[in-house]
Amino acid sequence: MAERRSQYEIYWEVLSFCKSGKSFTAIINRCNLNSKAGQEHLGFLTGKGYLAVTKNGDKTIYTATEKAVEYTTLFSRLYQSVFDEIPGFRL
Amino acid sequence: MNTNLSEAFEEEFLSFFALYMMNLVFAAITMAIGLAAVVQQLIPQPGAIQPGLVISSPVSLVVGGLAFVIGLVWIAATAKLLSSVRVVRRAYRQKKKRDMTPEDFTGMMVHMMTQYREQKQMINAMIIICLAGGCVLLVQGIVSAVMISGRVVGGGATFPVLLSILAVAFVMIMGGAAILISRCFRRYAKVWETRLDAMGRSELELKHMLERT
Repeated sequence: MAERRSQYEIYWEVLSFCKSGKSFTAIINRCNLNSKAGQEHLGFLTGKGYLAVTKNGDKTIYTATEKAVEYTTLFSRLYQSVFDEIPGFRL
Repeated sequence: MNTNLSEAFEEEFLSFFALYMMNLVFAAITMAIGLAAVVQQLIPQPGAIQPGLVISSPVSLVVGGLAFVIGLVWIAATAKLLSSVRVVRRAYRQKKKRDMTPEDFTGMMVHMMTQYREQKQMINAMIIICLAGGCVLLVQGIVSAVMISGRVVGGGATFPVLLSILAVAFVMIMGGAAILISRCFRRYAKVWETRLDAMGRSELELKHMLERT
C-alpha cells in the first residue's frame, strides 16, 4: 500500500504522527512502512531538520520540529485547496 | 471551512456508495438475465413440440452466456471496490465521532487519494465492464425483440407476447442504465484524475520547500 502514496504524503504522515516523540517501530507501524523505507524517510527528514532525534535509554525517539509544522501546514493547505477548488463526484 | 468540508465528504461518500451499490445491483441483474436466457435456450420449455435439446436462437444463447460471464466478473470487481470504500467510510465515521481537526481532514484526503490510486485500474476496468454489460443487455433485448416480432407476425397469443414485450423493455432499460453507470464511473475517474493532476502541481511547492532546507 505504501507505494500508492507519494513521498510527500508519507512525510506528512510521519511528521503529523511525530508531534510528540515516537519510536522507530511505532512510526513504521503507524505509517505502514517497511523497515528499509522507514529508515530512508526518517533519515531524510532528520537530515533536513524536520525531525529531532533524542535517545531515551536504548530507544531512539523522533520528534517533529518547528520546521515540520511549516511543512504539514503547507501540505494541508495545498490538499484542502485541491479539494475545495475541484468539485467532488456527485451522482 | 470544516463544516463545508465535512458536508462535501459526506456527499462524496454517499455518491460513491450509491454508485457502487447500484453497480452491484445491475451486475446481479445482468448475470440473472444472462442465466435466464441460457436456461430458456437449454432447458425444454413446457409445451415444447420437440423433446430434447432444441436451441431456438443460438444468438440468444451466446449473448445470454456472455451476459452471465460479464455479470459474474462485474460482481467480483464491484465487491472489491465496495470493500475498500467501506474502509475509508468507516475511518471517516470513526473520526467524525469527535470534532474533526484540519489534520483529520487532510488525513482523510490522503486516504482517499491513496484509495483512488489503488483502485484506478479497477475503476478503468469497471468503465469497460459496465459498458460491455450494457451493450450485451441491449443486444439481448434487440435479439428478443426480433424473436417477439416474429411471433407477433405469426399471430401468437396476445398475453404471452405482451409479457415478452415487457421483459424486453426491462432488459433494454437495464442495458441503458448500465451504460449510464459506466458514464458515472468515467465522471468519478475524471474528478480524481483532475485532483491528482492538481496535487501533482502542488507537490512542486512541497518539493521546493524540502529542497530549500
